[in-house]
Amino acid sequence: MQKKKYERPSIKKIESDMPNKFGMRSEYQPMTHIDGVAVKDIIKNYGSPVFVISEKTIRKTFKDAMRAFTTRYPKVQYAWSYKTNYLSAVCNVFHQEGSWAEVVSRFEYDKAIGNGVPANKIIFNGPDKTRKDLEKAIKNQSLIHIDHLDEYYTILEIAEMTNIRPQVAIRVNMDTGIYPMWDRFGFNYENGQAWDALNKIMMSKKMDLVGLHCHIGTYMMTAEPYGVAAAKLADLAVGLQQKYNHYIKYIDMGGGFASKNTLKGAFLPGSDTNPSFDDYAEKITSAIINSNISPEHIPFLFLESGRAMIDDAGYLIGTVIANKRSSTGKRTTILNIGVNILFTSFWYQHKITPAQEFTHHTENTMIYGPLCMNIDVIRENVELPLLNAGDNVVIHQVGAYNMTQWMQFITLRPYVVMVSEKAEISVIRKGETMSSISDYEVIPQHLKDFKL
Amino acid sequence: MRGNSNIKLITVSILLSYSQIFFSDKLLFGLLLLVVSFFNLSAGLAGIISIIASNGVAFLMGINKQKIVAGTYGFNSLLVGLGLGIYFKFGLVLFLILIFASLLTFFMTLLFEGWLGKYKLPFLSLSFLFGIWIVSIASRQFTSLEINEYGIFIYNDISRNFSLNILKLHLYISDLGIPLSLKVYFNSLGAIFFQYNIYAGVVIAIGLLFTSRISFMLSLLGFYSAFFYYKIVGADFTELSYSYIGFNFILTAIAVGGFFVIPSVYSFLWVILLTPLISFLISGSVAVLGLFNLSTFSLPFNVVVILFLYALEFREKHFNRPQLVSVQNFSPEKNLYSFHNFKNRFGDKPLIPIALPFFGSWKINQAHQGEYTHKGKWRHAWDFVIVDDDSEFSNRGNNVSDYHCYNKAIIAAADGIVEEIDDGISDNILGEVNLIQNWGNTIVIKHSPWLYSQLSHIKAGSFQVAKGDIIKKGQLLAYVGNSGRSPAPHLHFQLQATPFVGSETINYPIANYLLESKESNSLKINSIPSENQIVQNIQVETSLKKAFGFIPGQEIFIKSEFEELSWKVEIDYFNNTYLYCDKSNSFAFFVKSDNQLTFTGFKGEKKSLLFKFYLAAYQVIFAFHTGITVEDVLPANTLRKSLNSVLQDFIAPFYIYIKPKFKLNYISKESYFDDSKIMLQSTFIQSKFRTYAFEFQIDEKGIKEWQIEFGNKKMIYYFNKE
Repeated sequence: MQKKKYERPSIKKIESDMPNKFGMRSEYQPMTHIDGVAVKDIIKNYGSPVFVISEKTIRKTFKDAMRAFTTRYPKVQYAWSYKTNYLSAVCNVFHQEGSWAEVVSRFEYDKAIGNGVPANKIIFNGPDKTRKDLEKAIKNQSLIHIDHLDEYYTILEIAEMTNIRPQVAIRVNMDTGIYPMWDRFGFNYENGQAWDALNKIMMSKKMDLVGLHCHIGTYMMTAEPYGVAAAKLADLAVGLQQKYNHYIKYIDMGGGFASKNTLKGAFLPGSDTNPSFDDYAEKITSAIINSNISPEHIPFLFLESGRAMIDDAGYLIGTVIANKRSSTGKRTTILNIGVNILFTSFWYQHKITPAQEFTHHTENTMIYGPLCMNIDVIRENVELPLLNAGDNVVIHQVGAYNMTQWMQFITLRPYVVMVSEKAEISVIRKGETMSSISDYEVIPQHLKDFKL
Repeated sequence: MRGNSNIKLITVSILLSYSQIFFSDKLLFGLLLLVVSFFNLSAGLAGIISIIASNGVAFLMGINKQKIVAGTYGFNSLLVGLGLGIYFKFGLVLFLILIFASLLTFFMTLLFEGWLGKYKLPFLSLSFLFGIWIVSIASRQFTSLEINEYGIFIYNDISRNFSLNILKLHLYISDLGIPLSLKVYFNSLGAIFFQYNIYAGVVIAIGLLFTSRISFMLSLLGFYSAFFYYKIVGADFTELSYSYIGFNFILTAIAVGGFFVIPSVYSFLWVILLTPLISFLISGSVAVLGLFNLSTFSLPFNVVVILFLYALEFREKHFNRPQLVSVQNFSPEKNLYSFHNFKNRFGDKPLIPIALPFFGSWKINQAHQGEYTHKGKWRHAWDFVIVDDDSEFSNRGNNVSDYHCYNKAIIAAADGIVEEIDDGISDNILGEVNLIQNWGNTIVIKHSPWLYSQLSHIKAGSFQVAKGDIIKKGQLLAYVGNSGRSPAPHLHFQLQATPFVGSETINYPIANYLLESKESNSLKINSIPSENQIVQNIQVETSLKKAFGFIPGQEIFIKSEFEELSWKVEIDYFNNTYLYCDKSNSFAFFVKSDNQLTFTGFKGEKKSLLFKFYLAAYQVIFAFHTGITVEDVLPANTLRKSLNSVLQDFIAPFYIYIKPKFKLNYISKESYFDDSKIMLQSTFIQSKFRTYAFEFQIDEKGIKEWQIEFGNKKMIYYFNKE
């Protein structure tokens, strides 16, 4: 017989008022396995904390998203947003599923090329493209989404010099009825900048206008604005059709789809309130199909959604360092996971699940990270079972942005492993060691020695 | 050059006039018959003069050149000429009479063609009959015409014209003990050319055997059914007088058994059943015409065939035993093989390609003859839903909107006109059904006067089209709902022949779709998807469409290391589209839809490159999906002549076992937006040891390279379209 687990005593006030619709207590299960692999085994082999990516979840999410669009629209193409998670293994799962690449810097561009993405299937977004970057992208016939007129003039110059026809699209910003309106990227629709830029491109006759792009916001909690945006892009496409008899090859709706995470300050859980792929797909495809674009020339629909595609597939496993009580008597728990590796805890109320059995007793807890910094808070309020030092926890939906925005700060960055569909574990990024950091450092000769 | 080709055309028109008599378009057979006609020099000359006269007049009058060359207007005059040549001695007078008799016969041919053609009936040798009767009555007053004595005293003729030894040979053969019936058979065959000897008959019989096995069989069947019939009724068929008219049975057998009717057990049975009718007509017409001293010639054959064909036209459309020939290939074998091939590939309905009425992949949860509602008059219908991980809904499935298929776009299955829209019926609560308005919100679309599609259980107020709108294939119509007799959201789809909501359904296939399975997807052509299958429309590749979507007026240039030639894409006045190779005078007929190219037949030179292209691209679906293949069967006569194929010809009316196989594999694709580079490989298995392997390299401009591998030979051709 296994030794019974010790659980510290806790005192809980009995709520004697009317029961509300959220129930009396939390009922949830420990997460002992991820896709059939024991959490304890992962920690044993790769240490704690450790990021775990579920390949199965990525593929399933991708198929769900594809189904939502392909059952509504004939020509759909995803492009993997590199900035969301550019670990090569993750990118390659998306590429295997048929995604192209969407990059926003020379670094990401070269990474996509390095992963084996054909250059003409890379979408080059973002405001920061140097002349050298553009020269390379033009030579490679990558799809360049022009952000501003200065970029357009540079492209025009390169096109004139090299006699290569750049494959370009413009990024359009617009009022879709949301606040804040994202108007810092691309050309505005309402004031005519976008139409003006399109005319410039068409009149230059030096480049091929292949698409129209927008990216109206991030973590969009309603799908309606996408319909407005798609209708406005379709309107530009119809304009090109009428004025120049020119048919664009694609309309790129960008990303910004919300994942199932719960934003800080949200009243209800994100899994209940955030729109589904179907909701976004419905608005986008209806707007394009019902537009005046002629059905024979219906453009491809490109999507660059990153967060909604990968968030669910990422887990972060950590260990309880200690339990304390604050000055007010509130329970606090220190994990070995800090904001340096869980950047998204600034935005989300991440779901945290113990990785071992527990009873149904819970206590309102504050979760701190291990950093010696006051801001290192993972959750301010969370009903958690009574954890002991050395217990493990799993933090859910951490696939997006954490593995790109994380910092080497105070501690080293941990291992990232992937669980395959056959429940095999592979390391996709090694844990950093001292040399990962110190190798890049150079100490001037006169600073090498000291005596204390 | 031009003179040469004119001489060629005139020669062809003469030879085909001969073969036409036996319903053939074989030049060699015509030549053989020409030689037979010259067994009697005077008759032979008279025959050829009549053809030239008749065809010449037709040409000068501006009659369709193709028909003249095919011998259509020559053979009746030829028969008149032969008849006159036998009776009268050759000379200037006969020459003049022949010219004008031919003119008369030609006019009468036009008369009968115009008159009978309206009823889809052939004019056969009616104009010959009237021509020769009129001229022979008239010629009784032409005293300067000398009667030919040839043929009355055979032994004298032989020894005078040939030699004594030939006469001896003739006597020897006569004593050989050839069964009497067979002798009469040969005599009857010879009699068609006014040659009353077995030698002509034997040569014709051999020629017939080489030309068409089925015609040869039919000639025997016709003859021997008459032979036994006369035995039963107590007359002696071997009597000389019958051999003059015995050919009526033979020609009727070929016409009814295999030429105008697709050869089958039924057509063979009709040959036997028509025998007594011919005999009545023989006896009757002989008695009547005898009063005027006229011979009955082929009158019984003409009357019976025309009567029979006329009678067949009155049948109900779907009754096809026996089946009338709709496209005449001038050979019972070709008619039979192409008919069966066509029937097996396309069924008996003219096909308007119908696609699936949605985007993406859907599951059929009730198919034809379904266990719930697809019964009786409405048994040919489908119910579609979207399934993910074996579930039709997300969340708990408590609301209609939880169902994956709910509110999904419904698109037009083919071009058409909106015939009817029922709207305003609200969605049911899950599990409940509306039996009063059981179709729910419904749209009916007219695709042709006999083909309508109906889509039901649509969401109220979601229609994007209105009654009377002209719609294109793939156009958005409405969104899936849960109205009518629908316990959970689904899309009901049926095809019907009449325009009403809830009309009786018809069994009509989906033109092409992708059938999904865990292992691999497969392509279905003109099939009916069944329950629990997951299906989706094929995704058309613009490159393939460009490569194989031939448009009339285009010219295709093909170049290889050794040759350079061009094909034209043409369309004839029957709306048949075909590729035409000028060099080899070959035709490859095809039909093209939005989604596929299908070759339906080939006419011409089998050594030509066009024939190889026909084999290589026999059926191409304009979509690329990994692992799909297209398989098809070509007509049995696509194969080269062999012992096996000759054997097949003999039993073809009853069973076809040669099924030459075509297979197309989709090998690789590199795609970029709508432009793709695609490689296709196809094979045509000619025999165990001979297989053609073809490979197409296709890019966004069309076919770039075409490789033919046959044995150890390999050829590469480059394409260029204009």
